[in-house]
Amino acid sequence: MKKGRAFFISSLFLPVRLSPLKMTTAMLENAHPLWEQFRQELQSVSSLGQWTQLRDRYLSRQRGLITLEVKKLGRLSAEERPSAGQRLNVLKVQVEKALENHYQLLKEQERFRQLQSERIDVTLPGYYPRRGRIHPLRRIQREMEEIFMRMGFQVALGPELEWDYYNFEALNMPPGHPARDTQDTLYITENLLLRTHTSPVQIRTMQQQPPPVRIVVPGKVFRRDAVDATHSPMFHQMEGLVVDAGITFADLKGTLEAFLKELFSPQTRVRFQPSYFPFVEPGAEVVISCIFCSGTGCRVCKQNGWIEVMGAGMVHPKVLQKVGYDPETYTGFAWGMGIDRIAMLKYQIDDLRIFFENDVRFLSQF
Amino acid sequence: MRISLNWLKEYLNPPDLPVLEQELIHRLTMIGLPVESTEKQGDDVILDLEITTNRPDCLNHLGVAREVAAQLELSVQPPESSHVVGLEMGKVEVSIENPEECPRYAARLVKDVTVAESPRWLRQRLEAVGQRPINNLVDVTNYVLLELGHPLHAFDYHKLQGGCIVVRLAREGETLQTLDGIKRALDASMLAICDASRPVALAGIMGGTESEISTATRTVLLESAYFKPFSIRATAKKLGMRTEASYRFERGADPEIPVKALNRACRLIEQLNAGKTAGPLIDLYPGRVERQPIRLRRQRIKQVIGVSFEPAFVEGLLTLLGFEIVSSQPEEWVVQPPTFRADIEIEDDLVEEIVRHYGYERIPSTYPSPGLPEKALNYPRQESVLIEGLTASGFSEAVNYIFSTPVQEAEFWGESRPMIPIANPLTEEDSHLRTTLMAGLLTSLRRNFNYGNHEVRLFEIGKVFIPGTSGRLEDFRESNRLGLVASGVSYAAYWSAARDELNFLNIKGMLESFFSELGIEADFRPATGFGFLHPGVSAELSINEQPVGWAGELHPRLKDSFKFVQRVFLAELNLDPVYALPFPEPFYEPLSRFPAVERDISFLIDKTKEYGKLKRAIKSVNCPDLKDIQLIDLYQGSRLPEGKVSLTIRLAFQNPERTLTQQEVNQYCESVLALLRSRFAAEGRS
Repeated sequence: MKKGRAFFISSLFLPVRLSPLKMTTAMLENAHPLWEQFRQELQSVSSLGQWTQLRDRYLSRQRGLITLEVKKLGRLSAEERPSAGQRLNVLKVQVEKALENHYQLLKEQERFRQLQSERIDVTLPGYYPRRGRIHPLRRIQREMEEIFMRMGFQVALGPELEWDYYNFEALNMPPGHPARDTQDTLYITENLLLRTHTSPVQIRTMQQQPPPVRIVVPGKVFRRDAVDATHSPMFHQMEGLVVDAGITFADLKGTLEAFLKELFSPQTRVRFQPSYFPFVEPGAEVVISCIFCSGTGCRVCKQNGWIEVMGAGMVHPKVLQKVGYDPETYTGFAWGMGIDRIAMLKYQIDDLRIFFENDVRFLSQF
Repeated sequence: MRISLNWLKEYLNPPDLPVLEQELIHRLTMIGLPVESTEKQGDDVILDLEITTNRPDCLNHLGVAREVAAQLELSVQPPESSHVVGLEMGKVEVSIENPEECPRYAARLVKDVTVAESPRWLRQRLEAVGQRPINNLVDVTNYVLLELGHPLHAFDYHKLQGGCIVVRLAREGETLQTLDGIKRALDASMLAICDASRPVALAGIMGGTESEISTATRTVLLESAYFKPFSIRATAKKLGMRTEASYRFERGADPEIPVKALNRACRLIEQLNAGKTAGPLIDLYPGRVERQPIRLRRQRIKQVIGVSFEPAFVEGLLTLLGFEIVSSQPEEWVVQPPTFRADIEIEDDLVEEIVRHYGYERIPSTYPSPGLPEKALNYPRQESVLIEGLTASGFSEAVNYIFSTPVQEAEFWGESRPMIPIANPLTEEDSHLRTTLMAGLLTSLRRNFNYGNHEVRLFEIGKVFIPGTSGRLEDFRESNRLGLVASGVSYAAYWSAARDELNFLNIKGMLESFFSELGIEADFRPATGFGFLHPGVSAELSINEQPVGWAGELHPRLKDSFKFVQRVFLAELNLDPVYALPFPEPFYEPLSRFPAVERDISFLIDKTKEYGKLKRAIKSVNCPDLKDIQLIDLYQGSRLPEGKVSLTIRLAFQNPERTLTQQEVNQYCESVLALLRSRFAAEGRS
């Protein structure tokens, strides 16, 4: 390899020294007097222009020195003519050959000079194509969608302005339900509101198709929360829903464990703790071993080694009934997680507000 | 909920925990009572438990003790709360006018009251869990609240006019100064505790100052009632109040506990020598509801959880949690939930109780067998094609709040347009829903300029909310939009290249390329109706003659008012019609073996003529071999007659089956030129 490169460099980049033609002793003894003269002149040829002049001086069809010698042959006697002719022939071949060799040398020299002149500073900044970036929230959302799509899920979408019925009532939160308090709602009218979670799309999807259902629902959600480092009146959720005959809590565990290990790392430990959401029963809080300290305790996990990442549970029979699914035949599980929160964890962002400032210095990092 | 471990142990039998504190914390978390923090206080440990809204029964020490006992298989030792015999007779009239809101009301008099500071142990108990001690009588009611979870209220009996209690809805115009010192106007939806003439307390929420216990109090009326959650919740919400009492009643108190709680309080008062229980115990219970027992099938547990449970485990656990096994068969049970568990309504609620204490950790992880849905859901595939084009053209994605204000949008539109108002906005900046993405994008742009970012290309894909024309808010329409703003140079990254400022044609070209990826040809026509755009640099976009948006340069007037120093280009597209188009599938078109012939034609034309119209006209020439029309030069300068521009257009002709002859191509060009001469007064130029 090294040898090859050394060869490459010398053949292309080193100047080729002009070396005198090597002559055999026999040739020298018999040499035509013009040969020595030609050799002298050839040695001083250092450009293609001079080379052309020299070639014409000796080989031009009208006035070339060798041409003139050939023309003189006619004046010689019949005895002298063959040997003199042969001598001239040898001279002509030698001159042509020497010219050809010299031409190659000059060509190489010229190429070398050209390459030298075309040399650039390859350490100058490249002409970097100016690409834009997708928002980090879309980036993480796509990553999550893709994992679920590989697991056979479809992406479902729904409206952001939603009816009370879909946002609360069909999800087992009738008017007056205390869980409504935990989702402080922005209302347009008594019945129309900004959805507080992506769960209404569960209802809309189930109303439109019979089981089996396997969807994830990404989207914006809204709460009547003042803006601070961890709260925002608008954030993003991804909801998931699986309904079929024979779906169990064990399936919920398996599916979400597979997802979280794929999203974070295969070493991630996943824990399910009982919790309460009105539209599931049993309900669970899903926590993972802290991705920063692997569970030994740090600032992010508030020293307890675990981080909450989603709420989940088995779809409440009343929810199934509302959409006309028979809860005796079909069971299902659902979950919801904050896309913003996952993005903050994965990209180590400590302030939610930066997502909505759209500073290009921030956006260009993703 | 702050729980003192020492206090909790009082209700466990045996009182010593068989596990270490750390293990207890873990177990509590794993049965759904996560410990948010712990705090050491002398020989005691205070646990701060996060109690979900469905478990008001755990908002007290006895309730948590019950859960701990079930988890550790101990038994529960409730505090002494049997009947206290009254020493004196006392006369209190109680009546319930609204049993729907107040199904039960119990009360008792305490006489010879000595209001004083509580003894040390009581004060310490309260302080340990964050409750400020007030006086012996109030402290006893708080103690019972934290012990049994039931809110009590103590009235100064002599302040009650007529010496009686009437539980009724307030009347319009009635007022009450509550213990927090605020005078509140009541209305007919609010349940009040009244004396003979006026409200003296907000039922289940807060007492009134007039009947408050003071050092002068000699006789106390203790109230222990059960109020319905919906009533308390509605009133508390309306008045913006949230108290320890309302918090519990809203979530569902135990209708069977009022008398026990009253007895417990009386016992404590006597124990503290704070007064003497008097008269008969009054217990009006007009709203008793029989709860139906619930059938639980072993097979259902398996169906929902995926694990089979031993009958003995199920029965044992439910019993420990206070459930009554009414009947037991090999494969199913009939179970009566305890009255303090208002959250248990259906079979699956019982399933959760079992699996919660069994441990979610012990359930295996399986993967659901793939049930494939009948049809694929609609998903706008166009979106990712657009995003690819946008990012490749240097645009980064912005996400803005969907909130806006009429002032902010009017500044942009130059007029006020109808918007959808939020009924209960948190701030003035969030009062309405946006009708354009531009207000947010221009704010983002300004922020970037302020941060010193001068090369800014942003796009946003999001919804806007258009009110219906009827004026009814329910007639709204959600519309998907693409918005973009751009400012800076056109080839910023090429440090050695000329730094041309972006211009309209850069933006237009990008938009055209995005559309082209979607198989859409959009028309750009000069627009006049957009007050926020430079009148000479604004275009209306349409697809198949349907308007889909606009693009242009920000009007200098707005540029000034935003204090921008750079030119700003912006566009907004309605994506709904784009998403509605079929996703473009490419079709192979055989490649012609015969070379295309290109011809350039140059001509002079009035400046006022639009190239777009000209191109459309050329396209309409009947020439199937004309494959492409490209503008390759536009010259305007002093060498040309006034008001004229010179255009050079390259026409490409190709036939799939043969080589075109010079003569044919000449003819084609001639007919194009003829058309330009007749329709656009073009003058040929060579």
